Amino acid sequence: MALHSWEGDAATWRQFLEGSRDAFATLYASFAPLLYNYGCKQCADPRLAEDCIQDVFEYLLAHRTQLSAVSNVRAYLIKTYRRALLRKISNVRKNIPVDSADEASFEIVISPESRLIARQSSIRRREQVRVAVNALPPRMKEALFLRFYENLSFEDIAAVMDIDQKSVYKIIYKAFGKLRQKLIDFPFWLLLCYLSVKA
Amino acid sequence: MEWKDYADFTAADFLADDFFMEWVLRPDGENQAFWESWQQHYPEKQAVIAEARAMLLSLEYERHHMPQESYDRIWLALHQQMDKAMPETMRYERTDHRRRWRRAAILTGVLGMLALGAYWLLKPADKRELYTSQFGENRRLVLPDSSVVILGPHSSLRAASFRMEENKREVWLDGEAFFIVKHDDAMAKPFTVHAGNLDIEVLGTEFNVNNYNGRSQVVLHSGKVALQESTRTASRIVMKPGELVEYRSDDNRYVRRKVATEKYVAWVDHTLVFENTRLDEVALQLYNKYGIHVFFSDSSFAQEQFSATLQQADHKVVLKAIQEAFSAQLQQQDDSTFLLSR
Repeated sequence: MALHSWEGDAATWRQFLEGSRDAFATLYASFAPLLYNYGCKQCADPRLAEDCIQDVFEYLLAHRTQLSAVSNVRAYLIKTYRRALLRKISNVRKNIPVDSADEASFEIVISPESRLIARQSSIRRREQVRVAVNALPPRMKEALFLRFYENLSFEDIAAVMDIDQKSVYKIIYKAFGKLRQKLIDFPFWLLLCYLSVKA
Repeated sequence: MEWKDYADFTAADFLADDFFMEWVLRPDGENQAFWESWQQHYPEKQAVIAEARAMLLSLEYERHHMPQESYDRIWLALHQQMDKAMPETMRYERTDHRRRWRRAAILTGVLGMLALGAYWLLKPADKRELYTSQFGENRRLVLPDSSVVILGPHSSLRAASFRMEENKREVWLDGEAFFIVKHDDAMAKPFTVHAGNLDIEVLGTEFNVNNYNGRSQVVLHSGKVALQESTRTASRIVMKPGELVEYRSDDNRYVRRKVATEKYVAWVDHTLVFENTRLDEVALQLYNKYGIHVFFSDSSFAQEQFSATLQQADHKVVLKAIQEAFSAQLQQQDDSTFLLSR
């Protein structure tokens, strides 16, 4: 279960704090690809995502003796990385007028293989749904991503996004409400999923 | 960890629930069995579940794969810095750590005493929680120590509060339950199940207890348990995996035999297994689990033996199987009374 590997991560983290180079290598191997994925969702510029990964791990090396134990390493690293990334993005924006990349962040994909989509449903309908679902505010989409893709708890999401836990609940429940609206706009769909669940 | 009752959940509540999410996104044998059977017993919740599932499954994300060159390039840069930041010889830092540890230990001690004091002042009243299941319902409970209990139909479990300073874990069972007890090496708190006239002392393990109508029966799936008759008139015995022990109070003795344990825990997945089981015994089980009365037209019919493995079983499935096996006639007399005749 996910919980188990979190305990493993916490142990690796402790070994790193005690000076284990192997532990540091393990952290890099397990989290660099994860942070890369997150970064590309946040900012659409892979180069920026990569630079921030290097920054975060350099920061860990430089401040190892001042860091403390953490229970959820994944949440801690995403949080640190997110801050570095947002700082860098705002720096970049001062110089270059950036087109609104925000809208595209944490895009929810409606893939053809999606169990939700019946084979018969047209490309046009899929496209309609994709647009509707992705019209959610970026913060909502980010919270949903952290919850359902990265499996973070509400508490961890609060820490990552720098907001209190109550707001996370509010955001996520509100997102559910909106998603529900979007899906209920397509009753044909809902019927199909209902049937597929029953089958 | 908390106990949960899913019956009142809305679609949004399901979406916020970890166990539900695990099932939708990462189905495995355990959560699959739980949610399927749960839906069977709450048919009115199927639409809500379907809706929550649909929403969750619509949240798909494309994965951005880190290019191998980037991965290697960053690691190379980090590796050079690691040589400076984390030299192989760590002597100085180790002593530094030890000092810090001692300070931390003292601080922890002081904080611990303060916490303990605060705790005694604010100590809550000791209360036991009571959990019950309806006829035909299995309930999955997670105890505060992460042990899992699947409570069988029409059963109840009382649990002491499992508080930290308590040096034991205790529950009282009426009916049937399957236990997956978390073995806690660090604290080594004994876990005891009181079931009718038996006390079952658990040493980290999976087992089934059934004391419907006062007949206590324990089936040990894995691990180790010790049994003690509650008035201490019979001796304590230790069970081995694959054993069934029944305590008979009338002649104060244990009956022990080897069994295929799967048969006894199949109910957890809503599968009922009968192997040359007398029909009157089947009827008794249906009464215990579903609250229905089954009568037979003649006593020789009631003594016939019945074998079947029935999945997703409820009393209707069982009665239908009996009806077919014996070419019998089934009459429903009222909501909960059935007559089988041939």
